[in-house]
Amino acid sequence: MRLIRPQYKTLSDEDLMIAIGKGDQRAFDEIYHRYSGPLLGYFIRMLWKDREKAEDFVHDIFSKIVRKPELFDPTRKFKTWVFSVANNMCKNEYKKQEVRKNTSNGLDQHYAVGDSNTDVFSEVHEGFFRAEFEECLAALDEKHSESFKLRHIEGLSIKEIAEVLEISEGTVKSRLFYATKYLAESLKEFNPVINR
Amino acid sequence: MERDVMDLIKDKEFIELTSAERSEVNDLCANEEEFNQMKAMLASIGGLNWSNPTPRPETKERLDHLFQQTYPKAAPVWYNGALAVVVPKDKPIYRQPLIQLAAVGLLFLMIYPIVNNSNEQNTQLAMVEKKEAAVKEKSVQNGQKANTKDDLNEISTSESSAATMESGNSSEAVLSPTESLVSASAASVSAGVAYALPTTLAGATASTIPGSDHPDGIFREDLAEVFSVPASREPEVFDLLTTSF
Repeated sequence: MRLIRPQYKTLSDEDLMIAIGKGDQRAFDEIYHRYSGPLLGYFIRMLWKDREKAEDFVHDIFSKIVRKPELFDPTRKFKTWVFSVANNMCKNEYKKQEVRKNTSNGLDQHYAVGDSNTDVFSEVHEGFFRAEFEECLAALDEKHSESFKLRHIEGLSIKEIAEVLEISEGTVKSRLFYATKYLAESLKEFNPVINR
Repeated sequence: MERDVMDLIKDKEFIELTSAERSEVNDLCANEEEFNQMKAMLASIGGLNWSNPTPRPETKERLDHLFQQTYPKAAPVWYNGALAVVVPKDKPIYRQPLIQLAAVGLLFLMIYPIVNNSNEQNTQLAMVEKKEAAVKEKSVQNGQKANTKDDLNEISTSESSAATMESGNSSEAVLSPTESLVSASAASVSAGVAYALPTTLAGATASTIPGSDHPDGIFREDLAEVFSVPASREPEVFDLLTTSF
């Protein structure tokens, strides 16, 4: 049957999306296999490490793909399209949380509360650097942190980030510049770790 | 892939930077110390393991269920698989195997009569030749038989006139009309005209085919064929001959 059926693993994301539009479940399985992990990781990083919420968001984004595959424009790259959808979902969630925060006691339950300096010098190792880095990233302005995450964690190019965020490449560079400068300043205590 | 300031910092040492690159980097890190700090930070971030977690199986099961609801499968009829192979919906019509097979079949049907027609003509011609040869042979044989009959009839009809003639001239008078008749019948044979023979003569003719060494009878050697008729079967002719001698 391999001679007749398409090789799903070799098909591009865009071709798989066309097949999904025709009701091809194997194409859907393949696209899920390719993007469920990265999207879950992205949602976890963007949604305050809330795994449950990230799982729900993964379900929601793939539900959109199943129900309305025609929303995807085949002339675009699927990767940038799906990340832009994910990014918009996160923005909507931020807005929801903003409303909740205004109506709650004012404590942001997602961000870790505490003095980061207490742990900075207690143990110098990669795990701690990661924790500190993620904390600094979370403290960054949303528009800067999302650019930085897409560039250095998700591995998107500046052009792809510009497509995902629907901004110019110059703006992406500017945001990355600001985020990098901020992180470098925030993490300069980690020189011993960094320089090892 | 485009090269930005981050790539410069990651890939190059401070001392390797050109003046243009150094001015580009200058906004981000003013001196070598800051440059190295930035470089180390980016390297550390790049070195972090950002492996993505795997979604729970329940998420996939729910999505599969949703997919089956959204795209209900066609009834599992036995020909469904074969139909999907010969008429794939995702291919243009000229690339569908069923259409291609039909086109080949049509082409064969169009070419076959042309090829087959020329063969048939050849065989028909051969058959006609054979038939013509057979007809010719038959007609020659029939012609010979008819000659014999005509000769004998002529002989019998000339019986009365021969009786009145003299003995010397009578034999000539008998033979001369038969000659003309034989020649006429030979001409009729060549024309393909067949004459029926009486059964009695046919039997006699059959037994007196050329080469027969029958002791008595009428022998005609002036023609290509030599034949004889037993005198016992034609006593009148025999009596005529004996009287003439």
